[in-house]
Amino acid sequence: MSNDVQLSHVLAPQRVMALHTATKVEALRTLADCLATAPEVGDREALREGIFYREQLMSTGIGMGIAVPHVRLASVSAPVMAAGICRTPIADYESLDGVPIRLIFMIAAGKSQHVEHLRLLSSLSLRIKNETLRDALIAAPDTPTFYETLIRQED
Amino acid sequence: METISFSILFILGVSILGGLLGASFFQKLRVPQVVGFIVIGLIVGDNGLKLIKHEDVTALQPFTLFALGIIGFLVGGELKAETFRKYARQFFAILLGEGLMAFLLVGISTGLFLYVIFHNLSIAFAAGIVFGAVASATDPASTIDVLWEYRSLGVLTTSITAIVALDDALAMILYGLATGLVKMLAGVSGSISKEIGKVVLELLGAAVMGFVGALILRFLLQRVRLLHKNFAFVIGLLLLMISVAVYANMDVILTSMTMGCILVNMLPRRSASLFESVRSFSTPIYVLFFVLAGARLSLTQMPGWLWGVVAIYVLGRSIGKVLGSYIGAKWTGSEPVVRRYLGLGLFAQGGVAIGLSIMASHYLKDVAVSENLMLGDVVVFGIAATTLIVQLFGPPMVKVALKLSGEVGRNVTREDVIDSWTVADVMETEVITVQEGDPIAKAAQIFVKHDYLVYPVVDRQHRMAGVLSLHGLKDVLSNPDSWAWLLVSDVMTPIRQKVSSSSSLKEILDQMYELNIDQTPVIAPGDGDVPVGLLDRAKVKERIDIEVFRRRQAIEFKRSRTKVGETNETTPVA
Repeated sequence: MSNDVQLSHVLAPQRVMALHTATKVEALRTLADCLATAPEVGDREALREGIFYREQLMSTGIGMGIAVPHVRLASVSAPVMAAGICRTPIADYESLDGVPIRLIFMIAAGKSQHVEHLRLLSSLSLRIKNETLRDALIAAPDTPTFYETLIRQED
Repeated sequence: METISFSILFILGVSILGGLLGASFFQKLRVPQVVGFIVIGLIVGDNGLKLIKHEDVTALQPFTLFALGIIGFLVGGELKAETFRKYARQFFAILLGEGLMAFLLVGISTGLFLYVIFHNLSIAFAAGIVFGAVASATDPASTIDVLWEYRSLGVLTTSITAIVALDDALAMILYGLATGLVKMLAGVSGSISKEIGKVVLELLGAAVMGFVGALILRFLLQRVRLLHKNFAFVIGLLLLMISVAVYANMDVILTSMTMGCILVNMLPRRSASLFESVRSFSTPIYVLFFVLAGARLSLTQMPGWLWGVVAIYVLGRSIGKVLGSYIGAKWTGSEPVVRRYLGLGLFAQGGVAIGLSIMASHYLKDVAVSENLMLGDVVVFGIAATTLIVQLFGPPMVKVALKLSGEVGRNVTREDVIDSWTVADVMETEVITVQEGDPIAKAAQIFVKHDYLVYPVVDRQHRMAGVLSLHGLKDVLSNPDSWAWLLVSDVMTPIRQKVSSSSSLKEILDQMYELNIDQTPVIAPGDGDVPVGLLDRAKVKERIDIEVFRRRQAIEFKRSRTKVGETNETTPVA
């Protein structure tokens, strides 16, 4: 996709968190609550429901230890993201390659922001294919370092 | 100020409602509605109840000009180049025939009549030549109104439309000639060449202005797809054009007619819905225009002998129109229906004739016919009275011509079909849906297998959740890895408009045009959002064209059956 999305525009440092759970449901719920603190998200319940509904259709574990749960909702005003570092790999995520999840990037966008949503998903997935970056993110000792590492890639 | 507003609003209300009431009464008597409008005008005007006074009509003059502009624009929209190319020679010959014959017969007969009365050659000549020139004009508004009312279609309808649209220009040229001559005879300074030059300049100016207006409209229509905005724009532009035309002393009808004609030929398809909107909007304007025209006619102060002029004028003009168009049509080998009946369709006389008579009266206001009557008044009274008479029998004669030619009710238009259909009548009923949980790779296959550009996406309850389009898929083409984990629900677009199978087709087609959508899924009526079909604008257009053809054929078939039946009834059994 030609229009690369600046992750710093959608991810704020306070929406990066360390997850200490080993279950998919708990991890998604915690991260959804974190994402719901973004001013762009108007309805926390709708966000939770949307995220879990999408997971029912198919797992968002895209492989390589990465999950990208995402949803488009009428109550979201602009694309926005939260990130979670799984201190305990989540084995029940049912990812495409069966590898337990180490990093979760949760994305929400407006109902009609179809193009922006896809661009963000694509931009993130292309970036995360880089093994060095992926390893650096998994190994990040704290959330500021994670954020710095991810955003620095854009410069 | 409040009194004026109240009075104007009252007149508008009385005119429109009264006009419609009169029209429905006359329609019951099988007389064209326009006669009803005019009669109501006469009843409420100076000749009758005096609810609408002369000064009210004068105050509403800008409105009359606006109505003329709308009429001109719509008449212009009927003038398609292909028709002109096909019939150019015929139209030109018929136009000259009917215009010049009416001019000659009216001019000579009224001139002779006035000479017998006043024994003054210059007065007789001046009046005759002005009456003759005015007689050549035909009123497009009431004539076209009858064509539309009776939904006529055919070579006679086309010929009537073209001739009434064009002969105002001929009338103005003849008028230019006439006033030039009259001024010289009446001793007013002036020359024929100067007058003709002035008229030609006015006509050319109007045509150029209309052309510029059409270019502006084309520019707009190619960029803006919102019908209501384009409609507002065309009304605004017409008002502007009319005001400039009036200011520059140019012909309002010709200006707006050129605009309509150029536009319809530059953008025949895209302008169709715009013309349709203007036509729907024009009904109350038409009603008001004719009611005011009736109210304006003041006949109470006419001397007795002037009724003689009126009778001669009406007779001479009618014969001239019939004979002239017959000669023109015969000379160019026109079809028999045109030869026989065209003249009957050219009797109506309206705004242009009255306008020309008022202009002529201005030049002739100092020429005395008798002690307290000026030639200018004779022309104004005479034309007002003849207009009243021919407006009462002209439109019914158009109807007679159409009936005799068998062209009544044949004009089944695309709009008729669209108005009569719901979405269900024309949608594709083969419903191909995509599940929202299907992977992209699977969904993409559907575009290979089928020809549609959009597919309804359904959830587990088979309710429509969105639309999958080729355009939407385009956004993930550059990242093939994502195809493994993206689902249809990730790339589908939300439903922009819920189209129910019971919706009116017209409403949905207008929306699709405005949103620039070629195909849209259709759901069943009710709350279920269950997809039941797909509306494809290209296929809809195709089906409408077929239906128009089918309905016209059905009418033709019915007509031919009736004719055969009539022949059989009259054929004696051996």
